[in-house]
Amino acid sequence: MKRIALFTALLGLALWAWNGTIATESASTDTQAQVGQPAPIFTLMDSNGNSHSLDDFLGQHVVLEWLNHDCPFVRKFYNAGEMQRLQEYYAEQGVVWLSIISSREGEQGYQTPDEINASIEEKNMRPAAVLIDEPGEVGRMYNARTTPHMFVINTEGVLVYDGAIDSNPSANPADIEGAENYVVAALSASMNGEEVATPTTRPYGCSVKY
Amino acid sequence: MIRFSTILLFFLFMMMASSLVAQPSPGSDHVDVRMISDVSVISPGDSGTFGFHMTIEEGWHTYWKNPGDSGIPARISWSGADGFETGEIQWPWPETFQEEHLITHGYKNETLLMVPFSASADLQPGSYELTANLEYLVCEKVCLPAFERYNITIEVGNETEYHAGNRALVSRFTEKLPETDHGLEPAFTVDEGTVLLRLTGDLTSLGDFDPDDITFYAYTDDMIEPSAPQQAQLDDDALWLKLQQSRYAPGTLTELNGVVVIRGSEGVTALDIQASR
Repeated sequence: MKRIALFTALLGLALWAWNGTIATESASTDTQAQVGQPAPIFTLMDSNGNSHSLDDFLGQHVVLEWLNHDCPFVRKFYNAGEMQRLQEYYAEQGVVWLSIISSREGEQGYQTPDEINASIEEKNMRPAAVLIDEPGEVGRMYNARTTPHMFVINTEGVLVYDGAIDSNPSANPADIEGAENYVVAALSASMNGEEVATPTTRPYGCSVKY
Repeated sequence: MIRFSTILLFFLFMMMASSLVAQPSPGSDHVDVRMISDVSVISPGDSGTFGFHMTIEEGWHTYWKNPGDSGIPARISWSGADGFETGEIQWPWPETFQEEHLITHGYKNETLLMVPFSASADLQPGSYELTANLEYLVCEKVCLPAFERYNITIEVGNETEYHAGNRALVSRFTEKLPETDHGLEPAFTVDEGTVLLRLTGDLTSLGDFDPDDITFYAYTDDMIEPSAPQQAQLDDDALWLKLQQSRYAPGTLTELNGVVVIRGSEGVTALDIQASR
């Protein structure tokens, strides 16, 4: 017991000394998305030249989906029709689904507005809009790491989910079935006025090509 | 009506067929994988090691068990392995990669993922075929998944016989597994997300190294933030590492498990760390 106390004291001392000499990193600022806090407001153009601002959607649930059609993890969900199914289902429930492309021009996943519209048609996508986030300011604001990376915002504009689309980090479409879809879980809870049980997970997929 | 049901049947058939047909495996173009066994004959009750020897194209990398900010570790599922028991993948220590704004952990050039296995004591002599389904992700700037299947035939006989070349390969990579008997005592504290890991004991066994050449890799993604800077300090009887708790930690850490990799002047030392608070 004595040894533990001594050790704790030593560690405390070391921590104190260390903090004195080495500045601690702090990445969070007011404009960084954080679960449980108001989601940072942004305004982006969609592929049809219409402007959308997050505060237009107060009173509705909003899903943000980081998108890159050339990423195998995104294809896993689009080729299986799963992403479109969710987009369509939640549109019927009054949820605003915004797909966001933060790929820099020349990088994987970047699309011109016409190419975006062609993908919407070809893949039968059903988001409220596909937004163009070049040069990635909104992606950085939300710390969007991967495609897909999913966010759920409640009717009061508070971020209630930040993370992976589901519980099985894999590129294999066969793994969609059997995985827990965290976006579905977050929306179901939030739409029922309940707490989101898993509000943060590690997203998986391709890195966002800022 | 007939046409409709024909179409329906056709689609049903296609769905079944597509689940049977192998997945496209674009990642396989960038990694050459060879499955090996360090034993050519195994005696019932004995154990051996399977290896997946990956030769990775220059500029590309695959992932360690905790891939870091993105990426996915390899997965293996077995079939036809009745009478054999296969263990978890044993992962050589990883390297750090910077991918855009993310930090990941994995392998370039070459690695060997090892899987210990044993033959049950009541196996009859003869040939047995085991199938391994390997899934992995390989990334350069873009990431490509790979889905591969390997069949390996194992002879069960009276006496275990080793394959010299494969055994040498396995022992070369066994040296890259984290050491568990290093004799150093780990302990850690957490203060407002700052994790301070202390290793005490005979540090002379670690040889010459610069504290800047030390990296801690947590075994799971919910302990330490991969992209946060790490700092190491050395004093008379302890090595200190300052780390940042993962944003995915389910609360203040009570356990810290991972590997401390020291890239010293005489080679690399990797220490298995199992600490609780």
